[in-house]
Amino acid sequence: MRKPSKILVLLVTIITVLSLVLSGCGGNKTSGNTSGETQTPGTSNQPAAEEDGKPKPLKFTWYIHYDWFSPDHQWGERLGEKHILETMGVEIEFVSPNGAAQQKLATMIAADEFPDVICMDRGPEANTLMMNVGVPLDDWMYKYGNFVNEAGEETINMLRNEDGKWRQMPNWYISGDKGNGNSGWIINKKIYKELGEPRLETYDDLEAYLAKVKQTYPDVIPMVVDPQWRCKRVILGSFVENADVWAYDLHAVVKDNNLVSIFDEPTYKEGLYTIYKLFNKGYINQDAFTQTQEQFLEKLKSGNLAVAISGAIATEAEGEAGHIELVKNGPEYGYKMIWPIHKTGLNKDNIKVNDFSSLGWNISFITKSAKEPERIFEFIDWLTSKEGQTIIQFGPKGEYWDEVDENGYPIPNQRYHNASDDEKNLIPGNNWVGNTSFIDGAKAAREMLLPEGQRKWSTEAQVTVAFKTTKNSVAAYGIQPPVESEEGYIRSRLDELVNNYFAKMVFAKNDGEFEQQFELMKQEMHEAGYEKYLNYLNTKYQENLAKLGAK
Amino acid sequence: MLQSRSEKIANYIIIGLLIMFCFTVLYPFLNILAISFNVGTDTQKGGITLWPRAFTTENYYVVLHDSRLLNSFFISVARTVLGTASHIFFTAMFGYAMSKKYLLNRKFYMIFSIFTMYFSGGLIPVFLLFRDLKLIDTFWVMVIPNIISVWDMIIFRTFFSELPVELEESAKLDGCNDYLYYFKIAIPLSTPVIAAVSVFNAIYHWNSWFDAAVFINNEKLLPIQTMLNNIINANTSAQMLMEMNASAQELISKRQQFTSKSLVSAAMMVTTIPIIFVYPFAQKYFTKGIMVGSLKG
Amino acid sequence: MAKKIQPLKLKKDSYIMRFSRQWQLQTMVLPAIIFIFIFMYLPMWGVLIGFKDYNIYKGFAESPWVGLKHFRYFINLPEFPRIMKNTLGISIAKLVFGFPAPIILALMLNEVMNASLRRTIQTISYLPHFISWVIVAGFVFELLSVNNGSVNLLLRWLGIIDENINWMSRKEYFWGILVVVNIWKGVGFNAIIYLAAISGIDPTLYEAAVVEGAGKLKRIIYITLPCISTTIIILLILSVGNILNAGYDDIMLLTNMGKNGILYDVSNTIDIHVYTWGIEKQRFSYATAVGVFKSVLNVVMLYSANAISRKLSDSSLW
Repeated sequence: MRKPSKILVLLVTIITVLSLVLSGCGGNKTSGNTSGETQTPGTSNQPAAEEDGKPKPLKFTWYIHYDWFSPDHQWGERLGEKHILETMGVEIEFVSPNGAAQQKLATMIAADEFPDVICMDRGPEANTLMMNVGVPLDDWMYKYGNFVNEAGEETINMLRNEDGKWRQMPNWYISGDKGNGNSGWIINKKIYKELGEPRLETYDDLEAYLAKVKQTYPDVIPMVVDPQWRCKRVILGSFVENADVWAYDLHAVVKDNNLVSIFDEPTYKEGLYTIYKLFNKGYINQDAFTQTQEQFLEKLKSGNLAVAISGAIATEAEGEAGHIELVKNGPEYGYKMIWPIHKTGLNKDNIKVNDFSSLGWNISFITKSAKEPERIFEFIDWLTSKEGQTIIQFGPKGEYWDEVDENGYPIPNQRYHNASDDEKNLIPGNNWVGNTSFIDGAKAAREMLLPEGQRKWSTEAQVTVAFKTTKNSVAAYGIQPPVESEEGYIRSRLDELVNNYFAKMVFAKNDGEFEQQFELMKQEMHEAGYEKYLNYLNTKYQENLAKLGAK
Repeated sequence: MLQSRSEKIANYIIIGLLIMFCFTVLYPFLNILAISFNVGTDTQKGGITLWPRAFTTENYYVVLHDSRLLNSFFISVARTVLGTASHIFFTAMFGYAMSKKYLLNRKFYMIFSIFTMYFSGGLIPVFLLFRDLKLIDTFWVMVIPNIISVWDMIIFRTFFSELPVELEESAKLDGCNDYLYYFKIAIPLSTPVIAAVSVFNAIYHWNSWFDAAVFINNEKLLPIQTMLNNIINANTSAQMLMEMNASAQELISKRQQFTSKSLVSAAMMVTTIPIIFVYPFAQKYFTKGIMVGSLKG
Repeated sequence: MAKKIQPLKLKKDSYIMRFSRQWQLQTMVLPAIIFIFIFMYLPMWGVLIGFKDYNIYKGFAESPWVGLKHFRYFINLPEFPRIMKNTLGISIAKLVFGFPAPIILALMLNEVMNASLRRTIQTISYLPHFISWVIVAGFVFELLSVNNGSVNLLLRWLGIIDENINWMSRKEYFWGILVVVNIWKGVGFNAIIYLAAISGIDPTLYEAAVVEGAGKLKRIIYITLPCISTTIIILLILSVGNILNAGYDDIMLLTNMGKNGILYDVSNTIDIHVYTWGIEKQRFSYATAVGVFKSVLNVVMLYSANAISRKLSDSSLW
């Protein structure tokens, strides 16, 4: 072509027109959904806190700060949401960071423009952000009262920022002592049966069992660990009673109500040694360090293992998915979650390999950009009440439930029982202020109504084992040093050192090499400022213990 | 033309090696295609090679039936066409002028430009600049900042400097000025480099997702890669959030548990198939400019 | 080299006169310069973030100056020598093997006479460029899997090894794997520019050479390569000026997002370090400072490469 530019100019003109039309169309942020202007006067399920005459419509944005988050439906498409939209006039727009969360947040801060509500993980970053742009909720705390009632004053007090004000609303907080967790051990039922169902409680039992497996089934991987050794804390925590497994992630150990060095607690080394021994003997999958989540799931689904341990083994995606696949071969196949393997001589009822925080998963706070902060809080506070939770999670009355039982849990009706799994999955709406105790209680009650064979594998594993081997980690809140502090930099170095040396220790060819790497790690950690870091941690830990009062 | 025997053998060896290389490329590609047509949970069992084991079109359904995708497709097309056209227009011109050794201040321009390849302000200053220029949340933020690329300018400069000097001299003697020479002679003779850079730039625009992710909030303006990421995320986060009901921790890599490899593969196919044809299309411009012959005469 | 045609003038040629004679060329440059000024120089104050303890809430002006604090911290890290060694080692390995590869591919493709075969192979060869690193890494893990990866199976079948090799858990293989995968992924795409250069070669040169009895190899050495030498040299200079950018996506993904402890010693590069220390933790100042450090070294390399090239050949950037 001699004059490409002419054709280009033509193309450019056409596309320019097209794009201008397109950009003209997309003026508003909200696409699709109509804002519920219908003001139906209160129906039977109106919570008292919301009502004053006819509800004024309320619309706000709720930003969820995770790379992986993107809303899969518009507000109002789920039953509970629809009810809220139509009868209460509340419309929420959930904002996604489009896969670039850190950068998105940075630009928001730089430009000083924020969504109305931000949901993110607790921690130093959230704290700093909150103190700068978050709205204190103290004035309205008792006025609307549901957070106080459901989460408890202790939780709210723990969540107060350094200036003593409460801004962050917890999500999936846990009140009472019903903790949760997902970590633990599963065994391959068929292999276990064929080998005579030997006792499998201590590490000696485990080693003997794995040896037998290796001998009898040379093509089976005796023991599989999860990617990046998330299960490390499960093993380490089983060498003492009442372990605080969260401490291991921080390179520390809780001992006599203090956070001490891992070198002051011999069982930490014992745990590492056991891992090394099992790996060295070839019992653990040799790709333990390079395994991707996909490869791990493949192993679970293939059933080519005797024992598996993972930080999330009791979830649908891991243990249950593997079990469902294996059970296709017959009822004697499948996985079973067993009580965590522990050090000989310990009381098995005191073994804690899970942790949970009564503070929940993450938090949300209202920003200074919100035009009607009190009304937003009023709504969110209502949402976390038993009624709000019921509606958002199970739908309004008359749909899939008609009555509640003596605990306040909705009783599923016939329509629910006839519904397909897909239909059931479409009931819950977006719930970012979940009340775990209530929801789990309701789900457990619902589950128990089913005959034994039909119960979900994951629920059963959780209820029978995982939830019983867990401990509250609320005292760990906020003890991590801020990233820009000296201790924060030390922490980064420690993370790398521990990760590096752990690999070297596990891969050690013999005991001598193991010892050598352990000593090297100790020395380098010391040189990196380990003591200073521990000091910081422990000071903060003591402060928390004081806040929680003598227990 | 006659070839000696050794030349023929050399030819076969070369073709043989090339074809072997192609196989190493085709196998993964076909594998991804197979996975995209396979049920997600089945893919997790592993072992899929060239053929789907549990055939389904559900992955493509999830990816394609979202109405936002069609919109983002058009945005991407618009962005690619406008972006590439404007990029070529300005950057080629820039490179051409820079190829003239008698250009005044040439060394200054060069250093001025190259410096920016090494030192840049980072995301926040750029974001603030865009905000001040009112580019945030508009279609043009994806096009305007990409108009000039120093790297491409260097490429153009290199190729333009190879044009025979005598051609320009004789044209100028005939009264041709710079612009005229550029558009009527230099450009037609440089179709290979223009085609090559167009291909690079088009692919860049088609594949980008990050700039839109950070600088655009309006869903209707998101290009296809960003939108696809969102669609996949939406699909997996829905399942993830249901899991969250039961426990509140262990979020590390949890997303990976749920991201369906099949879904990601289908998304990859959807975005890749259109753009693959850019190169074969541009290839026919990889021929010599017609006018060089006239120089000899 | 074209010389300015000097008209007879009585006065000395002033700068303004010379400039205005070139006004057309200068206006070709002008939009670009303005653009670069606005979009690249105006935000450049961000570089100074590395010299401050940037607090994103206080803003740039209110954040305190700390001079070279972050630079000093980085250089004094015990890992610093290893980080530099990995960065340079990986980069040089990629350069030594990865730079010639697209050239060789382009040369080989040029020898394929059948036009449609050539076009098909060309198109196929650049497909890997479109496969995201996430997927490519997944492939690598599968192929090199210690239990049932294809590579191990093949080597066992050929009798080359007796026991499966744990490829991804051995330090000594990592750089090799990186280089090979990078070449596989990029060679087709990177060859495009060389193909464009080759297509600009006058075919009569080849005809003359054949008449004189030159074989394929001679033609490549004496005609093709010299004709595209400028392109090669410029790209080489630019690559050398990029030497401290050892790659990010590939290393990150092949070390399980930096969490694979075994490969740490050979995979911790500047970019990986900046990501885990700087970006993940929102330590803007630190990340910026290390970035500046990297850029300064790159510029030094670029300058040297350019100077050497100017002496040895007549192509250079400036």
